[in-house]
Amino acid sequence: MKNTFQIVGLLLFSLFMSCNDSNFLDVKPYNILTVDETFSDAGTVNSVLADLYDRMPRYEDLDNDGSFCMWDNTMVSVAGDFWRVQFQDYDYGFYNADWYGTYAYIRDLNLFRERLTASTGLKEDDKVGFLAEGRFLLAWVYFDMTKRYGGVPLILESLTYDYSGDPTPLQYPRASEAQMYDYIIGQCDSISDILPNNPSEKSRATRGAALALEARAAIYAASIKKYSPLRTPTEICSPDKGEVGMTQSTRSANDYYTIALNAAKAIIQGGGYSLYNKKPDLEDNFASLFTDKNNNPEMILVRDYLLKYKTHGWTQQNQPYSQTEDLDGGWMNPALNLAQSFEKLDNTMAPFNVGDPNNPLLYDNPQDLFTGRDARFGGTLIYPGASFKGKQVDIWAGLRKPDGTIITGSIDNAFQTVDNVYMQVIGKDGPQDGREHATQTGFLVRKYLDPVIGSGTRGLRSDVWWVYFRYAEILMIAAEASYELGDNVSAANYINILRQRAGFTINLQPSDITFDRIVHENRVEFAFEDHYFWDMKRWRLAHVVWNGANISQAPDPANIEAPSTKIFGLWPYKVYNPGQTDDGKYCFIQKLPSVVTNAHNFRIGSYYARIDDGIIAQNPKLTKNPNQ
Amino acid sequence: MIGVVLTSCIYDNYSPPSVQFSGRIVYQGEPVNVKSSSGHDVNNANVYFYLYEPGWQKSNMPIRVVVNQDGSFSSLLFSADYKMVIPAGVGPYITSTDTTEISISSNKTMDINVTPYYMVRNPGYTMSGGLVTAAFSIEKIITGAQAQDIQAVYLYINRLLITDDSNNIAFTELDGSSITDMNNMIMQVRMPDLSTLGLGISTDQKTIFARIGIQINNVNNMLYSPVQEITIN
Repeated sequence: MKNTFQIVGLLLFSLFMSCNDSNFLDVKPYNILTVDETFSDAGTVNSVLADLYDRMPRYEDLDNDGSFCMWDNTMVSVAGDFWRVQFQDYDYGFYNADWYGTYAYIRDLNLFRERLTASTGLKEDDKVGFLAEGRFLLAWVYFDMTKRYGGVPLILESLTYDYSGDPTPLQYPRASEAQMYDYIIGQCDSISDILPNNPSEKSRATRGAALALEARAAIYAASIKKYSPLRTPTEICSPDKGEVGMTQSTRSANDYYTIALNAAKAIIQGGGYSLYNKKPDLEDNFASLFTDKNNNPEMILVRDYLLKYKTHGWTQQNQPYSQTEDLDGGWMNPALNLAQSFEKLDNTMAPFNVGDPNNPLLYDNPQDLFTGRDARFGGTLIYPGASFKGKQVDIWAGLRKPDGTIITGSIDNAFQTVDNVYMQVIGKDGPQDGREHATQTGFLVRKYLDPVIGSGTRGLRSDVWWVYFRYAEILMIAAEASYELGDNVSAANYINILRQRAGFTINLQPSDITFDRIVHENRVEFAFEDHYFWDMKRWRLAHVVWNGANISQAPDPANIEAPSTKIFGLWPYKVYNPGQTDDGKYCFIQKLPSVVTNAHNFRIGSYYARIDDGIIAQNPKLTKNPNQ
Repeated sequence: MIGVVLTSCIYDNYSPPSVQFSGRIVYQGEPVNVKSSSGHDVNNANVYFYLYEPGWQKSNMPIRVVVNQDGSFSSLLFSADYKMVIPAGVGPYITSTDTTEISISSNKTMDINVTPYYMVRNPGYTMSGGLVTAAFSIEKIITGAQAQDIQAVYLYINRLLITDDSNNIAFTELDGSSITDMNNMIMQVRMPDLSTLGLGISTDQKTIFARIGIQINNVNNMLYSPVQEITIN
């Protein structure tokens, strides 16, 4: 044994001795690209960039059904998500970012820009374009952080630890919220001149995308500057630093509104975008806007998917259960609260006309209740009697006798014998109280739902894209900024373009434009597009609308400040009255799904997400957000 | 071998915190009542203060001590010297100093003096025919530059001891601008039919709980009176 060691040792030793060619081990690997190699070829830089685009943070997300269900837009018919309609107070940090992951991303973006700058092998044109894309992504990620936390450490170079035992050089304090917005606006403004003005490029940063981000950031900054002192004056971290609340901004709210308006106008005039208007059926048109990838003139920036390679489960999870292509369906159950926010075509807002619960109005077909509404209603939601993929959904909760008694069953056992006749007693899509994978509110989601055969299977899934920016938002920002700057004529012009696409024939007059209108229009146009929550937050309406009040019915859609703390449903019933004229007609009854057990309460302290104690412990220069 | 493993376990482990630090948030010896944080983890509490334990690696990491609805608090701690910080903007009160050093070596009871914006004085409740009547007065404690007006006064009733703006079965609201005499306040609220609330639990009870809450301008947390149990009548 001992000898063996000695022999092996000797052999090894001799091996080292024999290597007197110093380059002997210096073999160039064939499977690893060095940094220099990567950044000397436009093709490999594109690969790096693809990864960076893929990591763009967002809150609502097509692969995260629960992210849509924290407020009064929709609930999820999945037991693991029922807590989202059962908690009372929102946690302070419920919309936290992945802090470490995000700063790792920021570091990668900084490295990307530094390595590009140092690179010598690239054509100058390519390099300038790539750099601008890197700056766009950095502006995007800082905007995402600012939406959540207010000011965060604004780190614009890659940091490297020197192992000295002293982490102080890596510890940055929070910038003020105003600095964050000014940085984002400034970056977007300068790269908008560099990036290509190419409306057919949807999944990479273009001039349109940069201007859109500038407009959105500016309208957020403006509304926080304006509404925070009015509605949440106590949201202050440290008075002299302005980490939250835009107190330190040198610009006024009107300055920011003007920036937003100008950026929006730069897209509207000569941007090459327009509203999607390809289909004659307006509901269908609004739904197709999200699924049609072929020369879609409305999309400015999207997160794209591709069958076989990068897909999501939205259609598989949310397809109507009655026509499921797999085992899933009916996850997302939009709320009556949202459904009745869609206006009537005479420009008024009203709940659905269902009559008295004890003596409900009767309709021949379930869809008759919903006629004469904004086309975005049917484009965003699937309602009782609506069709998907040419097939009518089956949404009704049971049979209702004239005396009000209900005969119903379960979706898995929908046929029963009633008065010696074997008949269906509940729709195959529900609503069935408490049942997973079927509607519990009477509505299903249509936005992003892929009509392609096979998109509802777990094997194929869907490649419908996720929208970061579309032209409609630009019009809405222009309308809001114009209104806030006192120009109701322009505001009405912008908003009417959107409303005409939704089927409104009577234009709003300048005198009709109010703050409430703007709030309302945003909600119905951009439902499920990661706008609603951030809008409610920037307008400081979140604590007003989600105020913990124990409401007993869905809120009045005409009142944007009406508490909307619980999700309600609207259940259709088929009248059971054999031999009579009303037999087989439909009536509707408002229903609080039994899984909805608590009223949401958004505390003032929730306006800025919580920075974890552990993060602050590692960097004492960080300050806590207020009331946390 | 096994002996070695066990021995090292003993060396590796700390004994759990065992010293109780408790007390009340008081104004002139009277507890300041606030909103309950029941149902929350400490990171999401409504009213709380911080204890920092200086001198070790994560000395920057606060211990949150949650204040109960009756103004009391208690926390199990290690024996050490702590810095107590009452964060600005938390609680319906202000303090003269934000940092206090306290040494905790054995069980300790300590009241923390604060200055609330208002206090509810002499609340009395009667109930007749399902109508709860509260008579009380409001004393304005903080005057001068730091004074804040009353936004609204509420009378809450609930079936359970935890009663506040989130936990109630009925309430009435009196706008701050409608207050005529703070020394002579009367508010009424009608108890709803418990069986119609859809609470899914027995509605057979003899008493309910009532409480007055004051929402103060520019102050996040409401100030409350003590919860009072009253017989249903």
